[in-house]
Amino acid sequence: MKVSSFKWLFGRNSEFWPTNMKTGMWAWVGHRLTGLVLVAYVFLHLAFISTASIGEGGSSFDALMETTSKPLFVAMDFLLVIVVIYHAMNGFRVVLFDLGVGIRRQKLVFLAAMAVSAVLIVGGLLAIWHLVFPNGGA
Amino acid sequence: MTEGEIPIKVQRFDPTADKLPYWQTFNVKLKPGMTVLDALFEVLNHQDGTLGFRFCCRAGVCGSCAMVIGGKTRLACETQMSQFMGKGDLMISPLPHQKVVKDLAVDYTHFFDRIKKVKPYLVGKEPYPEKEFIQLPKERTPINEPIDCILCGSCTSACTMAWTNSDYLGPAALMKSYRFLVDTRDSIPEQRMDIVESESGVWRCHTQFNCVEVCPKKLNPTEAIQRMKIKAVKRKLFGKRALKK
Repeated sequence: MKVSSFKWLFGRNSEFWPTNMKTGMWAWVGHRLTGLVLVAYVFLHLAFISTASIGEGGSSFDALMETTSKPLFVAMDFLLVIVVIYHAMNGFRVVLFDLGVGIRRQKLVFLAAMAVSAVLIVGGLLAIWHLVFPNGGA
Repeated sequence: MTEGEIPIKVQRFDPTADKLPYWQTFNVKLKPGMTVLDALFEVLNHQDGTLGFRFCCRAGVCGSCAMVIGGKTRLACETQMSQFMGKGDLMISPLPHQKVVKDLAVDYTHFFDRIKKVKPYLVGKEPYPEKEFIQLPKERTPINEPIDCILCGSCTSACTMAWTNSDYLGPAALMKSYRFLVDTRDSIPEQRMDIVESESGVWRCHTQFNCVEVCPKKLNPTEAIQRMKIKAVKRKLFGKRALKK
């Protein structure tokens, strides 16, 4: 009999228990989760943007943009930036491995990718801040 | 539990009697140099004679005693008990996602079926030489590492891709294939590549590095798999020339 119930798959001695997961596993789990988030986002995005074509006089697009500049949407945008940058940088790391670069130093490569991600995320935060609040957050 | 004892929590399961596995705790008195395998023997000899586990050489050579100890797959005979002193229960369970024969012993049939699929033997170039195949030291270098695999099954058990796809060859079999692929004496690289670049071959690897983390011999199956991915692409682009040694 295969021991495959939920309790055994995610128990304290299993590979999915957080302290048992090592660098490569974390990177992979993160990649999968962010990938799923991005797929869900694309559909949400399309559904949301397509509502601009409903309504008369062409003003609905402007109204939609008005909605997207609300703080909640900006915060969500920032989360999206984090997800996209993590997925992209980890994807780049995987491509490096496919090219045969840095396989023996995979932990260092992951840390490097995360360092670059951190810089890009901070840059993204500043960029969003400046775009949404051109007058210094007023 | 008294002073100097380590509580070990063993996953028990007898397929003929139990519906589900359960944990059973034994207290084992720590002795100098005691390994996890010694602790299991202590339990078997003095506390519960029905405990089932597999072992053979007790020296990290045969790979029979691979199990999950304290959340990590390792060889019981090579793991010192002293490192778990004062860290609470030491959990010991069989290799994940393998059929359990009894308690800590798992059925290796599927694992060896995977190994057999990649033709894990040398097919020499004909005509055979009178004495032996000549191999230069520098030709031997690439196989120095993969040749050390002891087939303990840790990597294939730790690989979540091998869990979800029973056709996937898994890290052990793929590294075995790599070992013969880069061997200058081997004559069937084309056939080997056909096997490893099939649907259940190298492309199922998602570079999780679980196999590298758990390998008791510190080998790197992921690197072997990635090298074969590169070979597979080169073969598609440049044909047979890419496999020339």
